[in-house]
This record gives sequence, C-alpha cells and structure tokens, in this order.
Amino acid sequence: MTFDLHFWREPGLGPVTNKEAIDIFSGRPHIESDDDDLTVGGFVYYNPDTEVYFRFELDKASSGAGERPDESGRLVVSAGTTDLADSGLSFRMNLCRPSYFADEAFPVVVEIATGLGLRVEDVSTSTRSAAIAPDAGELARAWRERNDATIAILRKKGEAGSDAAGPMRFEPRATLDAFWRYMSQRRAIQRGVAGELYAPTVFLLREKGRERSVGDVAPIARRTVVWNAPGPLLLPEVDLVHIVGPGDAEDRIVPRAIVEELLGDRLEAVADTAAPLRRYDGRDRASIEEKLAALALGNAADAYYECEPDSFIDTPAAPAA
Amino acid sequence: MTEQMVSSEPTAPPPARRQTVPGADPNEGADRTVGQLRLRGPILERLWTDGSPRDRYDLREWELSFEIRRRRGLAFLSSALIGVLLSGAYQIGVMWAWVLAVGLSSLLIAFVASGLARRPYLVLARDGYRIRLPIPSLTLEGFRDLFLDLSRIRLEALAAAVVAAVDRDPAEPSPSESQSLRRHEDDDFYHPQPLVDDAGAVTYALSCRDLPQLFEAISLCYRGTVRAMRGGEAPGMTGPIRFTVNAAATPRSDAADAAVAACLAECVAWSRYSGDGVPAGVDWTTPDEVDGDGDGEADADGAGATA
Repeated sequence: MTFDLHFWREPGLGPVTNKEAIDIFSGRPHIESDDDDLTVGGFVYYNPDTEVYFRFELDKASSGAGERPDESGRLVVSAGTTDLADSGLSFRMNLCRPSYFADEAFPVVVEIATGLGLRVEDVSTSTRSAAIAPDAGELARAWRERNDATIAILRKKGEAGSDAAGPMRFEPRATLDAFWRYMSQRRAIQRGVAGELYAPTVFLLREKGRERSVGDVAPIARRTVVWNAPGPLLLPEVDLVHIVGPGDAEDRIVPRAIVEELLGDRLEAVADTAAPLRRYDGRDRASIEEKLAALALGNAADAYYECEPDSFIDTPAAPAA
Repeated sequence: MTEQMVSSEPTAPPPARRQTVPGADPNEGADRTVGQLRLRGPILERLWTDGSPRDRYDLREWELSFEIRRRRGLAFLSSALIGVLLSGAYQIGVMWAWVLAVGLSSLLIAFVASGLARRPYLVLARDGYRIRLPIPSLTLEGFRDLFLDLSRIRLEALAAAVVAAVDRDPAEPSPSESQSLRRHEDDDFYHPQPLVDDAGAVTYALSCRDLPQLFEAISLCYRGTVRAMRGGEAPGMTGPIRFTVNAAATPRSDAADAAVAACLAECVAWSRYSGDGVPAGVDWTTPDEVDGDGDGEADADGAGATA
C-alpha cells in the first residue's frame, strides 16, 4: 500500500552517508529525523496544514554497487542499474491518498535527489526500469497511476467489507486541490501579505448524518474558515464561514455567499497570492455588527464534524457496467 | 483482540500533534513507562495488508507504539502480602524465627525483581482511545501472535528497538532526542511549559518573535491541551486555557490583538467540531497585565508572572 522509490548513485560517489543525509534534510520545512528504528535512519516529512506525509529511509547497512537487500534480507541486483551504486536511500509514500500528495511530495524528492546527485528507480514496477534523473512531473504521474489502480482494486474488494476506498472517502479533486492550494501556502501568506491579520485554517467539515452512495460525486466536504466577527477577516476560497460572535451571540455556520453579501465591497482582493484570497480590514464595524445581529440564517457548529484531509481519495469510481 | 478493544482507555492525540504536558504524568504512582518506540504513518501503512482478514482493523488509521513499563506496584504488593503472612505466622507461633528469615529474604528478592521486571505492551491508539496489549515475550513469535501478517515490516528492527528501550536508562535521551536534526531551532516555543493552578486552569507563557510564530504556538498548545484533557492524560486540567505573551518579544497593537482573537476563536471553534465537553474559555494577555506592576514591560524572565 505504499509507493516506493530507491535512489542510485554514480559508483565513485558511494552510499549516502549519515552526515550527508543530515546536512541535506536539516532545516527543510516539515522534515524531522525519526531514528526510533535503530537500524534505519528515517526522515519523516509531515505538514500539519495539509496532512501530507512521507518518509525517506537511509539504510545504514547499505552494501556495494548494484546490490541491496530485499524485504527478506537477501541481496538483489537491480537489472538496468548495474552501472550505478546503491545510495542506501529510499522513499516511501502511502497510496489511497488525495492527488495533491504528489504535488507536495515530489518537488521535495527532486530537491533531495538532485542535491545528493542521485538517480531514482520506481521499485514498484514489475519490470525494473533503469533509474532516471529525478523529475517531479514523471514521479507524480507514476504515483497517481498507482494510486488510482490501488483504489480500483480496493473498491472491488469493498464488497468483502473493506471501507478503505468506500464512497465516504471520496471527494472531488477540485475541492481537495483548492484546499491544498491555500493550506500549502498558508504560512507564507501569514508571514507576508497578511502580516497583521490571521491567516485562518481551512477545515474540511461534513454535515453529520450526510451519507454518500457509490457513484455520487457531488462534493459533501465543505471548506470552512472561522470568522471572529465583526473583526478583520482573511477569506480564502471556501464554501462555509463559521461566524463566532459578535459578543455572546451563538456561533453559526453560513454559506460564504452570505458573508460576501454582508461585507459587500469591503471585501477586497489580496494581490500576489497563489490561492484566491480576499480581506476585510474591520472597517464600518458598527454597521457590520448590526447586519450580523439581523442575520437569522445558519447552522450550529455541532451539526458538522471535521474530516482529516488525508482521509480522502479523489479518484472517481468507474461507471457501473 | 475484540475484547481488548472493548476495554480501551482514553489516550492522547497522534504523535505528530502530541503536546508535552509536563507535570501531568498519567503513570504517576502506578506503572511507569521507561521506554517507548513510536511508529508513524508510512510504517503503519506497511502493517496494513491488502486483502487479509486483518483489513478490518484498518491499521493505517491507528497510532502504534510500544511501551515498556516497570512493574513498580509489584514490590508494594509483594511486601504487603509477605507482611501479612509473617504477622499471621507470628500470631499462631509457628516457627516464627524461620518464617521471619524466609519472609525477609522474599521481601528483598521481590524488591529486586520488581525493579527489573519490565513488561512490554503494544499500544494502538485512535480517536482518543488507547488499547494496550500485553506482549507475552520479546520474541518475534510474540509479535506474530498479535498480528499474523507482519512479514512486511522489519521485525528485527522492531525487536531491536524494543530491547534497546528496555536496556536504556530512562534518564538517557532517546536516539531521536539526541539527534541533531531539529524541526525548529527554538523548539521551546512549540512545547512551552504549562502551569496549572488549583482550579485546573492552564497557563502557557509564550515568548514568540512574531505574530505567525505566536499563532502557531497558541494553536499547538490549545489543541494539545484540549486533546490531553479529553484523553484523560491531563488530570486536573479542567479550567480555561490562558496564554501570557511576552509583549516585549511580540509587539502588541490593535491589529495584533484582533489577529490573536481570530486565532483563539478558531481554536475554540475547532474544539466544537471535534467533540463535546471541551472547555472553551481562552484569554490572552500580556505579562504586564498579569504581573500588575504597570511598567509596560515584561518580567525579567521574559515570560511574565503567571503563578
């Protein structure tokens, strides 16, 4: 259930050393060492904003050129790579994940591989092809292909009781990509354009009791931000706004259009951001407060539950035969 | 396995989001964790095998860890039992000197043995619940008994790590702790020390360089504390969560106040999506307001007076 890559090096360079690995992984955002496994040096990437995670492993017991241990510990020679040396470094990322995992992961993989002078082999393919120069687009294509195939297999097995690719895990790719576009940039937005505003988290909420049947591809996860009304607001591309306040007013969750209408032209586009973004600077506070007091729409917060972004898949089910 | 799942107990959040809550050791006065190995994400994925009957456990969604616990309670139990026996023997006058000698020897052995006795557990955690499965032995067979299809993980590595955890002095930093690679240079900002007052209110003293860092610290502390409360790992923490911010480090302004209020509102909203029974009271203040000296400056320690 994982997508595995192995890295190779020109024979003269030898395996990646621990120091080389620490040098290249240190200081990179979201990467931590994970040396709990005492025989393998692990470097885990985990982005809490997007929930993307993957892992590099450095086999400290890596052997000579063209050879590496398989899962049972035997040494195998990888056809087509005999002119390259085993770097000892491998990469692993889960399958059955949203497509944006590839968009976030493989640029990092390419940076690491390029920095260490490595070539990359997709070890999951049935015929071991020659290691290639790292290419984020090609790797993303291979991961998505495998992801789709795995999901298709799991869906077939779904009848046996597995919900690993069940209908409730599906959300349209457009929804998840839009979530990722903003959340992957959120910290940069916070540090830049929105230096004096809070760049809110986008939550993926689902209405309690809402089910999805097989073949239903309409979005049911609602991208939601919280607005501490009538204070300033940074508004990304979302479906719902959770209004807190003013004062002791009950929380309510309303469609974004309600907030757009309420704020009118006070909502201004923010330039130079990768994700669509608008801001309200908090002016005409009294007027906004009055409109909020008259607002009778909205659902209670406890009508929804939060979904972890990485729990979704965005590969649509094949149409029934 | 099913029965053990029914008897699950509350726990903390997944390790990636886990917050350290010093002073709230759930093992206080009971067994003590002396070593721990955590496995996350991709490794867990490898435990999950497509098509096997084990699918129903869907291990990808669980946090898996090993805990090695010292059976400290055994010593007290043994000594108490021996004491009762000795007393009884003395009362009835049966070879009291012999019983006393044997009893004292047994007591000594029990103390020594209990200090050495360490029992490994496999711990599965999910959605605030923890299942602790005693591992019968530190052999590979023991692991295989628990999960039939473990062939895809490196059992030898797991066993080595567990044995290393047993052998490691608790005071010694773990390999990961001693690793030079750190996520942030100023890690303390992300794991500040909370203070808990008698009413169960939690206070975090934050000293952050800028607003983005402050937002991140607040979010992590808030979520970590709420999860710890919900998981029962932070007994006594029942009151509001208060943040004191070193205003000298993070300049305060009307815009900053509004932005912090937005961050706090989001924290509280998150706890409402995530479950009931969570304290929602949050306050933000500067050290000067807390220490009350009116000098407009942070205290010398930079953290404000939060006692």
